[in-house]
Amino acid sequence: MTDELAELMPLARTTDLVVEALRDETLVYDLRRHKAHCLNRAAALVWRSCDGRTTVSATAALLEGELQLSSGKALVRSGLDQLARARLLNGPPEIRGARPRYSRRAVLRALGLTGAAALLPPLVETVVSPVAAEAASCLTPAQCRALAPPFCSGQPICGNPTSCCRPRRLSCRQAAC
Amino acid sequence: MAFVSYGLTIGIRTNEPRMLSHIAKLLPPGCRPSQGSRVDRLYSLVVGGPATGLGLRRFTLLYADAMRLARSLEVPEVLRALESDVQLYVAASARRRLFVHAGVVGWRGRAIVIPGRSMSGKSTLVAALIEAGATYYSDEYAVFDDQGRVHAYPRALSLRDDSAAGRTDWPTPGLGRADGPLPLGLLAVTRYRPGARWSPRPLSPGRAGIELLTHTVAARRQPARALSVLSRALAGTIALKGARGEAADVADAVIDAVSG
Repeated sequence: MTDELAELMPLARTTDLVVEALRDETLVYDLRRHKAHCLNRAAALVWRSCDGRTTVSATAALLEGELQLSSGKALVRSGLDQLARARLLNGPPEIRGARPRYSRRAVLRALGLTGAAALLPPLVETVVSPVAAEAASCLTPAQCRALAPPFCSGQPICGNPTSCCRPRRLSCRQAAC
Repeated sequence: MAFVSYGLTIGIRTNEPRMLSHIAKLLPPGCRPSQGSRVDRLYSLVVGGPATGLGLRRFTLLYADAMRLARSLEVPEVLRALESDVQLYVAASARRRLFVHAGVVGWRGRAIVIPGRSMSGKSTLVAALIEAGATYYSDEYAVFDDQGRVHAYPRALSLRDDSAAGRTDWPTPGLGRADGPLPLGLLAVTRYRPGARWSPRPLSPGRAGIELLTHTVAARRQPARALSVLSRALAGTIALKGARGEAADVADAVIDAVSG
């Protein structure tokens, strides 16, 4: 236990990211994978502590103070787990991926929760950024063919109310709605 | 012909000059003619005609720059493709506005924004909100400026139906009479589900932000700008998410939420 708490936090990834703070939360856009992540307050605190110098115990203490928790260790572990899966951490795989996953139930039990709903998992919520055509009211057949799954989710074909743009194997094709 | 829309110059040429008056009705709202000789994108519409004596079919073709967008024997189908592509190009490439695929109405100086994919029922909810007294802003895009305010995109409200075109323009009271840019008052992330009861859960500003981002046309092209504009827009906004049943049953609750 002591060794685990003395362990240093990994390094946060800093390249190819766009970061925007929004009150207590942090929005992160991954320019490599075109995914957007919303880090809640707890995850944002954990991520900001990922400097390779701060210890896990210091981060847990920070969460306990900021979020009025009796024990922040499980939340730090869960946050690191989710940040690693979102590819927001640098460092060797044993730091990023080999930790046991912390279930929602385990985290709630460890927090003894009385805590605010805003802290409940998922601490990191991720969406795939849309390609432009995904946000169109209808697609031309050429626009449909230029897409690849999962971006053809049944958008209607312009001027043809019975046709939609749907996945077919590894491409997108015009098909009956 | 050439026109300017949201800072982009677009040219359209055709072998059939009579088509230009039809095309003019399909252009994005607020565009104005351009006399410039340079364009950001050039559309070419080659109108076909009746079959020749040899039985050859003459397709109508549409190109955007060098890419063929549509090929059909039906001219209206090609025009619909032209309308859609011009709108999408402007929405994806505009430099001073951020386009989010959404329905928008105004209510007492604040905007109600309903983001959604095609066929999620946003136009139907917009129509119900107008019937409940809201001001029409858009059934296609929420247009955000750099301060996060929402501008109108006043195209006639168009509802899907069983007609041959698949959509019918709806008589839109107040079209073009929007009050100017509004701060975002309520974000309603919803989708029609038969029999559903409107019982939404609140979204935090961050989660509301990524919901809006998933409907932002230029999200991949301008992610930094998108996050910056959306976070400004969401400051002090109520955001709700949940399935809804019939639009008329939900409209009053949505208005109550933004009023309260």
